[in-house]
Amino acid sequence: MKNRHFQSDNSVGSILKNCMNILSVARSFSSLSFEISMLAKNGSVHAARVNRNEGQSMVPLVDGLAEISRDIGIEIETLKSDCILLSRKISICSIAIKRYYLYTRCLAICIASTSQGTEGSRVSGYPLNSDADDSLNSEMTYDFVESLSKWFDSLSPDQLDNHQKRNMEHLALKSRFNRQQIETLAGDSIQIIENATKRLTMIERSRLTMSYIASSISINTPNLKSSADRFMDLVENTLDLVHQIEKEQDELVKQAQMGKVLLKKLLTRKGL
Amino acid sequence: MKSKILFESQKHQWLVLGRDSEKQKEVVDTNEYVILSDENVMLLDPGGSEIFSQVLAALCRHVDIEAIKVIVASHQDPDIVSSLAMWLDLCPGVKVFCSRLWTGFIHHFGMGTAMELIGIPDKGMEIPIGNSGNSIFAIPAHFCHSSGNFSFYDPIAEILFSGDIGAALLPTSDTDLFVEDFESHIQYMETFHLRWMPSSAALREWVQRVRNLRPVMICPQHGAIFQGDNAEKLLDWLESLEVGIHDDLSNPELDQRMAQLRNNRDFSV
Repeated sequence: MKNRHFQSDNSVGSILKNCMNILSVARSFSSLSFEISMLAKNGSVHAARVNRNEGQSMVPLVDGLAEISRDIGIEIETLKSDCILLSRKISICSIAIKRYYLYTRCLAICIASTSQGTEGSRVSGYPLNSDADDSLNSEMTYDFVESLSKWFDSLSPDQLDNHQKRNMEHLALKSRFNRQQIETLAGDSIQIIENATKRLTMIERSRLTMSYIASSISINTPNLKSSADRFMDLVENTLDLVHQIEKEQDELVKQAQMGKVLLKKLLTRKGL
Repeated sequence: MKSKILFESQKHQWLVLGRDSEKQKEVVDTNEYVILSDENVMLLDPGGSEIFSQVLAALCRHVDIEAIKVIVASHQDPDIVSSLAMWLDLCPGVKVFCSRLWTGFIHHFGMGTAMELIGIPDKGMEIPIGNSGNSIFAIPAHFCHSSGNFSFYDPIAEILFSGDIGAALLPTSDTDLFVEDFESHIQYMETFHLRWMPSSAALREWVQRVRNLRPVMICPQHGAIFQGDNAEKLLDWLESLEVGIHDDLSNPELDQRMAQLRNNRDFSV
């Protein structure tokens, strides 16, 4: 029983850790968005300084960079608020999981102690061994409350007091409520992760555009008589940012996928 | 988990739950006390969340869970009351009593559950056991060990729940629920009291207060229960005890290490 309990704590811990990782990557995007806007401003200043005709080709490119910084900023803000919502949902979910475990663990102890000497009796999805640990290893099902009442019927009257029966029914109902709450919250969390993944697609589009703009600036730079070095620096910094965004994006995708796997485990009861 | 009825009259019963053989060895063993008075249930120090399932399973055999009306906490420690959120979830509307000093702190155990937490004033109070018409009394036990600490006395059963006073850290979970031989039991109490009780004066004041009540049983939260002569012997022993920190706490190695780190600070950015 002890090991099983630790295992549940670990699975809740993994989900919470994963959620914190997602939130932390989402936050790191904010600083990148700020850096893009700074680059765009620098680019505008450089374009304004060069000869009007020479700088003409650079103006739409740096304007494009400014536009990306605005677009990406909006996506990142939404991503951040999604991730904050996700951490709230996961926190509430972890409390429900804790409760679910403690109540079902109590039920397992009650059932095991009542079942001693009634070899072979079972509640659907809930084997009744003298060892409560084995009971916990089974999967709880939605029909647990109904199954429990069938199990009550199979007992002789002297095996269970009325208040013990009422208490177990009360616990079964509470467990079912917690199970439903876990499922709702895990479902909501998966939806949030999927939304976040969509935001990442938008961010990826902006990243590719940035990369394209950097290449275009790089192509136009040799034609400039002045400020070529400054534009080459701009290109280099933009490509650095593109790489950083790509790295953060990959990490977020990895964490989001992991989060979905953990939450789906919860939904399929394999993780509980 | 063992359970035993400590007192029983027509409509009033005391029950102890303890000696949990299923708990992890790192978790300190605790006794949970239950009063059933005219179908109203009161829990005294319901315990930590790590042993919640075992306590609840043991309790399920004796009382209706939904009849739990009151929970009292002798002080704020996690082994006393960290399971509170679960009890409140199972029995909404339960009134919780603890020292006024700890109400804000105990709310941290709430996990978002609605809680009616009533602060016990320093001089103590009468606490009704639901609608039974019976009450227990909060007896000040401040600084024994917590700065906001109470024992609880039931004048019907003449039982005193003493919290951590008289507590013992027993070597195994198959020990008797009652103290059989007081002299040999001292070894399990002594270290606990010398370190956990900060004030000899406070302990003696408490002993004086309890002598006036003349309880037939003194029930601590850890260890074994004192009844009859052993209750009297416990009070004598506590009265003679010099508690608090007496050890030399100087640690030259640690001081040297801190000084070394302080001197090596790098102020460059």
